[in-house]
Amino acid sequence: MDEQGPLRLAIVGTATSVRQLARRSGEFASFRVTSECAADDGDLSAVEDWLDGEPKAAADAVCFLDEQVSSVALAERGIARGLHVWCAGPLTGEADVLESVAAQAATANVTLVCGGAAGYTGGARLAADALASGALGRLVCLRSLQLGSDPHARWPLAEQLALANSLADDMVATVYAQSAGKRHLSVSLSYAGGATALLALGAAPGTPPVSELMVLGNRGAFYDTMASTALVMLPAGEGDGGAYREEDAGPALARWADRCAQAAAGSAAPPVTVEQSREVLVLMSYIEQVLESGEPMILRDVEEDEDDE
Amino acid sequence: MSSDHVYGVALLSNAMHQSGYAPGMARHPRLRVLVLADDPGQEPLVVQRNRELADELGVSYIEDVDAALRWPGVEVLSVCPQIERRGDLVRRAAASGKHLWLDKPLAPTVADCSAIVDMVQMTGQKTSIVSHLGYDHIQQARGWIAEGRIGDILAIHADVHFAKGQPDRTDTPPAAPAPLGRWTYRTPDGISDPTESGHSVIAKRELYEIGYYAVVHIRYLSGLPIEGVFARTGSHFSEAHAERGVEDFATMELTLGGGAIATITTGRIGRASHPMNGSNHLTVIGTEGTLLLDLRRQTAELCSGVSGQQGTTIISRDDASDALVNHFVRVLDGDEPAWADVEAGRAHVATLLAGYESVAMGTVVRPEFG
Repeated sequence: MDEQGPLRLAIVGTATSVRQLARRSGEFASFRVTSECAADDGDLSAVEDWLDGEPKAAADAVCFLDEQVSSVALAERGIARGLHVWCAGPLTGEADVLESVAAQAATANVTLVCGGAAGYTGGARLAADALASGALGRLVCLRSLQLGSDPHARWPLAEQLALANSLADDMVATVYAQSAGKRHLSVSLSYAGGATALLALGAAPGTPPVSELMVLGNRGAFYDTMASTALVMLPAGEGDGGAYREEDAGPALARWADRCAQAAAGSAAPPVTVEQSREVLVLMSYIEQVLESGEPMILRDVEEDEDDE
Repeated sequence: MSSDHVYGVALLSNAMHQSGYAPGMARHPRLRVLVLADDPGQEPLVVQRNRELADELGVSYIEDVDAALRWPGVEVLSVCPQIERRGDLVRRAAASGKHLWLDKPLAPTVADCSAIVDMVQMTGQKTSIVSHLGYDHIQQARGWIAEGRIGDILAIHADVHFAKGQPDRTDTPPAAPAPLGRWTYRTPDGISDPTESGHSVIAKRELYEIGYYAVVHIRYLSGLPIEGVFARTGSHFSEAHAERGVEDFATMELTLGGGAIATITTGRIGRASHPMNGSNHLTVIGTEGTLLLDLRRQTAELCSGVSGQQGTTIISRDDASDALVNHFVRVLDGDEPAWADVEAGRAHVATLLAGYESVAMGTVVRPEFG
């Protein structure tokens, strides 16, 4: 990043997400949006043209905001041009492809971020801060309900898995999943320390999208449900928590981009590391296997088997 | 039965929740509590609780259940002993041919439940097991589902928590899961009540006690059998639970008939962890609509492409126990079927016990009578 000013960010996504993030440009000292490409029709060739047409001096990073306008080829094109590449969701579903792109980024000395934006919603940040401060004690259970999303699209599930892993900060020990046809998916993760995460994604017939997060610690709890503003319950005498309401994804994307920019500047860890993104992709492959078999997958046994080999 | 008939009631044991139900029965114009009885040799705390409730209701307390079964005018038995005694006492009560009001869950084993079901089928009396189905929002939701307002059910997500007790979990590793058989651990002094359960309890198995309500909701609202159970109980709020190897919190994933699914989080999460006594929240997702049900906020919200009527229904809730008692009297009169009879109770028990087996085995378990 230019030490004299904010990192210059070229953003590409749907018109909605581009507008939402662009509106937040300037709120953080770390970056400002200098170029925008909205491609609602998912025309990646148009995005390629845009990326190629950008003056080399106009941007330091390219940021992909939506699944339909991101691709490995675009990421590689950005890296080849010396741009940091940040993708708000998983760039690919293949762990080895991710590793390949990460190697290219390392060679080019640019940052590669694949996912983690869901951890920067107001609710997720409040929950993470409450856990990190110790106010909630040790995590017992988290539940995330995302209605209005395609349960079999890659980004929504990957982002929920990344969020769960981030909040749990522990190794996944067991994976279980069920789906109701193609319309609803439920995933449960058991962590080595005993905590559980229940994640559900699916259609929301008759209602606007529903996004709920509940985090239960053994000394307090956090609730962000559509029935109310976010609510943090702390142990008695430690306060009544905070409340907020966010209108759209813009604040979360901006916080996430800020963290990416800090990582590019070397002043903070990225929102997710490549290794963490890889773990999410591996979990997604396990979920597919569980859905196929109908039985939970014990990862500890899997890891031991791999070690034995 | 004529609408002015008054049913005589004998209360069998106040070891656990009888004191929560009996006053509602005593207030009801169609029920008259006549006697409270228990088996001899009960622990002092139970005897004391029995005496206190009998005194409160102004009835006799006798340590002779058989005598209570023969008590003049008794047509109904309210049976609320310790879970460990329910198989025996409920079966004896069922054999008497009296109508039964039963504490939840029905009994500690599926075999006990089956014996009770068989006995009731032989004698033909009415039965009703305690649940939260008396809440208006649940009945409203059941009606909407029956009318097809949300289409076929795809998924139900239930959070049923009791924000009671003081969480005091330390970093000490929990004890290995205790074998089933003992369900409740009482305080030695018989006075203190650290779990705020209302009957002097240090620890009890909360998947069985609280998770029960979630299982009942899911089965009642969906009308679907439960064909698979995967459960986890690995983390605790209370040291008393952890050191005894009994769960105070659990998650369950249920496979329902017809390809629907359900998930549950349930347990005793500590009084500081919720502003309104703990979540009691259901999200019911159908092919054509979604139901958002929240007991604590007293709302039932229907979002449906089918319905002409949408929006939040604010519930003017009467006491759920009163609603259950009113329902029970209608069941006794033959005016409506029980929301949860002993056959449903066996399915609930089978599902919960499948959960424990799942925890122990790490696999999906198919309940025998889910």
